[in-house]
Amino acid sequence: MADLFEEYPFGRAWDEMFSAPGQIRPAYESVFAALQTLDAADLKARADIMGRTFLDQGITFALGGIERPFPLDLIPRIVTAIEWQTVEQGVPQRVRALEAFLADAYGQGRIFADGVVPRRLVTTSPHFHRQVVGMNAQDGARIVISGVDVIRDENGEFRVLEDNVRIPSGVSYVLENRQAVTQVLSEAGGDQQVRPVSEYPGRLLAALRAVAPWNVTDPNVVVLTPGVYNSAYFEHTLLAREMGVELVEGRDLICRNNRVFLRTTASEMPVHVIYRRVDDEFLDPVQFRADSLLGSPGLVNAARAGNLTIANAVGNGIADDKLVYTYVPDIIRYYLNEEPILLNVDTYRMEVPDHRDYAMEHLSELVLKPVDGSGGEGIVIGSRAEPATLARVRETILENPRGWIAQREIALSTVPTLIGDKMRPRHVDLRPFAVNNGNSVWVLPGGLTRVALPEGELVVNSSQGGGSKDTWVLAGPQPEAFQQEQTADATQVMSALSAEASLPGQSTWMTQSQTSHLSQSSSVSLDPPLVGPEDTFGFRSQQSQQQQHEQPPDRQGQGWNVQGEDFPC
Amino acid sequence: MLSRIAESLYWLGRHVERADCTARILDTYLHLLPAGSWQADHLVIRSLLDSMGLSDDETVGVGHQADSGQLVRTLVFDGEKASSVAGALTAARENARGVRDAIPLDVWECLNVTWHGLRTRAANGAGPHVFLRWVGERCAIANGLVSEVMSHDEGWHFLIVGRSLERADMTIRLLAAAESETGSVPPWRALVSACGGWEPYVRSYGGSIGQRTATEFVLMDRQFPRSVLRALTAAETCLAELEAVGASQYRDPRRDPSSARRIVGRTRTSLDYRTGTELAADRASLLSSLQRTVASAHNAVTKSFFRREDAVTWANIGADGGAA
Repeated sequence: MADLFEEYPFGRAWDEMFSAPGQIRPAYESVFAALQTLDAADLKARADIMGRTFLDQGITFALGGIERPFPLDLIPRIVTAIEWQTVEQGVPQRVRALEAFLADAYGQGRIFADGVVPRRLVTTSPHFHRQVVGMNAQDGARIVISGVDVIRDENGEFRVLEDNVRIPSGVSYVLENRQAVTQVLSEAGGDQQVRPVSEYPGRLLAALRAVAPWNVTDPNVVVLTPGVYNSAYFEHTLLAREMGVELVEGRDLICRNNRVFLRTTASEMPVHVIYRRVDDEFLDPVQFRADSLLGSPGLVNAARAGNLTIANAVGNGIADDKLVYTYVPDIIRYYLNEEPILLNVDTYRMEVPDHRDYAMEHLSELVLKPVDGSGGEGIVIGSRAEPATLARVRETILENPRGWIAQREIALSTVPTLIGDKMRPRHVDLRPFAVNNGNSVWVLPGGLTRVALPEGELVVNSSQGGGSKDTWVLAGPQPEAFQQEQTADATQVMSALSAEASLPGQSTWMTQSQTSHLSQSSSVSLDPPLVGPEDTFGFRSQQSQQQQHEQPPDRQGQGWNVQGEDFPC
Repeated sequence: MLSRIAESLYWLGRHVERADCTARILDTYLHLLPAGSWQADHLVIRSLLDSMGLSDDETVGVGHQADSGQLVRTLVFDGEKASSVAGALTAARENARGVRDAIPLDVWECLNVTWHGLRTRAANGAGPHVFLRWVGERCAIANGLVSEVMSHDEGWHFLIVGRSLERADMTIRLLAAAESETGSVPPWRALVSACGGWEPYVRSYGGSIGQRTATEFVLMDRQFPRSVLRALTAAETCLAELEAVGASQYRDPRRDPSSARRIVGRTRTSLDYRTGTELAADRASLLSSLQRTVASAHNAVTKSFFRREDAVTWANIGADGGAA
C-alpha cells in the first residue's frame, strides 16, 4: 500500500531511495515492491517481533545502567557495487596512511621534520602516550580494526566524517541486524545479490593471529572486555564467541617476566594477542591510571618486549584526533604519494588565525566540534543553536583553539525510516569496518548505518537516541569484460588472475590456495568440468571461482573480491 | 578454562537448582497450609524457613507476628534476596551474562527470557502457585538445554558440580527441617513431595508413608535422580573428570584438584554402603556430616579451581586511591 510513502518530504539532503518525488533509484526497487504489499500495521508487528528477539537474546547496549535493545529500523540501506568501490578502496588507503603516520609519529617523526604536520599537533593530543614512543614491533599493524565514519553529502558523494582507530564498536549490530532483517523482511531482497557479512569474525581472528609476535607459531588470542557493565559488552561476547576465543577481564590476566598469562582452572596459559576493548588509560596501571582495575599491570612492558601484541595498539588516539583528521589528505599524499579517494568534510582549524577569523564571522553556518569529543558530545550546530550558546562557544573556542574544529554543515543523506505509521526521511551515516592483517586491509562489505530518529536531527549516535539500519552492499552487475571471460576456459581465468599478483591481497590468496593444494586430487574428481588436470589450485580456489561466476566482482575490485570469496571461515 | 568462567558456571548451576528447589518447596508447603487458618500455621512457616536455612535471618521477619502472606511474597518475588526464587534466577542470569561466550546461545536466551519474565509474572497477580509452576518449567528448560545443547566439556562439569552440590544441600536441609514439628501437617509426605519424588516413592513403597521409608528414599534411593546419594555420585563423577582434565596440563603445585573429590567420595561411599535400617540409629550425626561434606566440598572446589590472588595494590598509592 503506497500510503506508507504518502507526503514523503524532500529536502536539501540526498535521498538514497528516491531521486525525485516518485522516482525510485533502481537499487531500491525490490524493497519498495516488498513494502507495497505491506501496510503500517504489518510492519509494526514485524518490528515488534524483532525488538522482542533482540531483548530475549540480550542484544542490547547499556545506557545509564539499563540494558536496551539498539533500535533497528526494518528498511535496509542499500549501497550499489559502484558506490561501494569508493569505500572499498578509500578506506584501506586511509588506514594505510594512518598506519604510516602512527609508525612515523612514534618513531622518527619524518613528517614533522618535513613540515607537513606540526609536531605540537601530536604532542598536545591527550591520546599521545610517551610510554609507547619507540615501540616499533607493531608497525604496519597498529590499526588492526578500524571504523572510518563516512557520510554522503548533498550530491551523494562519500565523505569521511571521522576516523576511529582506537576501539571502533558496532560491528556486532552489523551481524545481528542482517540476521534480524532477513528473518522478518525476507521478501525485500528480491533477486539482488547482497554481499554477506558473516565472514567478519573469521577475518578478524585471522588478522589477529597474523599480527602476533613473530616468534610464536600458534598464537593464543583473547578479547579483553571491561566487564558486563560496559555498554558494548554484548559485542565483546559476540566477537569472542564467533571467533572461538576466550573473553577475558583484567582480573583473568597475569603479567610476569614480560609475558602474559591467563588464570585457568589448571594452570596459567600464555596469551600472545589481546584484542582489547579497554581504553588506553585503563589498560595498564603501571603506565597509565594507577587505580584502574580493568587492565592488568605489565601489559605495555610485555608488548614492548615483543611478547604480546595489543590490538589496536596503545597510542592510536593521535591518529583519530579530529584536528589530525584535517591533515589526513596531506598525510595520504605524503606517505602514499596518492590522491585521497575519500574526501574530507570541509574543515576549519580553529588554531589557524585565518580559519578562526572566518569561523567567528560565520558561526551560525558551521558545525563546531570539540576535537577530543566522542559520541556526539559537545557538538554545536550553528544554524540551530541559540545566540547565547553560540556566544558561549565563541568564548570557549577563543580560550582553547586547539580544542575545536569547525565544519561546513552538511545535510547527511536520508533513507526512509518507519516513524509512527509513515515512512519519513531520516539522516544516516555509515561506519564501514576494516580489518588489517599487516599486509592488506579488508573492508567488510556492509557496515553500520546509524540513523538519527528525531526529525531533522543530524547527530547520528547510539548514545544520542540513534537507531540503526541493516546495510546491504550489492554484488556488482555483470561487467561486459567479465561475461566474456565466463565463456572462456576456467584455467585461463585463473592464470589471468595470478598474473595480477601485484594487487594488494593477492599474495594472501596465493598462499591460501597453496595450502589447500593437498585436496586437489579429490577436488578434481568432485568437479571435473571446471578443472583441467594441469590446474595447480586446490578445491577452495575452485569454489571461489565458481562463486565468482555467480557473483562477478567489479572490474577494479577483482583481486579483492577473489580474496573475499576465498576466505576459509 | 578460565577460573572466572569456571566459577560463574559453577554458580550458574547452583542458582538454577536453588530456584528450582525453592520453588518446589514453597509450592508444596503452601499447599499444605489449610485454607483460612493462617494464624495457626506458624509451625509450617517455621519448618519452611528452617528448610531454607533462613530461620536466623532477621530480615525476613520471623516470629509469631510474622505475616505469612508477606513472608511468602518475600521468598517468592523479592529479586534482591539471593535466597528467594526470583533472586536466585536473577543471580543465575547475572552469572550467565558474565560468561555468554562460554555457554550456548540457547541457554543464555532461556535464562534471559526468564529474567525478563520475572517482573511481568510477578506483577500479573495470578498468585504464587502459577508463578512457581512457571519457574519450575523455566528451570526444566534450562536444565534440558544444558544437558542436550551444551558440550559436556570442562565448563559443563563445573556447572553440574554446582547443581549437584546445591541439590544435595537443599535436600539435606529439608530433611533436617522435617525433624521439627509441623503441627497438623503430615511431615513425611511434605518432605518427599518437596523433593519432587512423591510418585516414584509411591511406586516403590506403596501409599503408606513413614519416617523410615521417607528418609531412606530421599537419602539413598538409587533410581531417584534427586536423592542425596545420586546428587553426590553425580558431583563425584564430574569432579573426577575435572581432575583428569587438569592432570593432562601443567599443574600448579599450589592447587589440589582431587581434594573436593576425596571429600565427596568419602561421604558418598559411607552413604552407599548403608542399609535403611541403620539410618534411624545415627540419623542426627549422619545429617550433620552430610551438611559438613557439602560445605567443605564447596570450599575445596573454590580453593583448587577458582583460586585467585588478591588484587594488586601499589605501594605508592595513598588511601584515597590516587597515585601519591
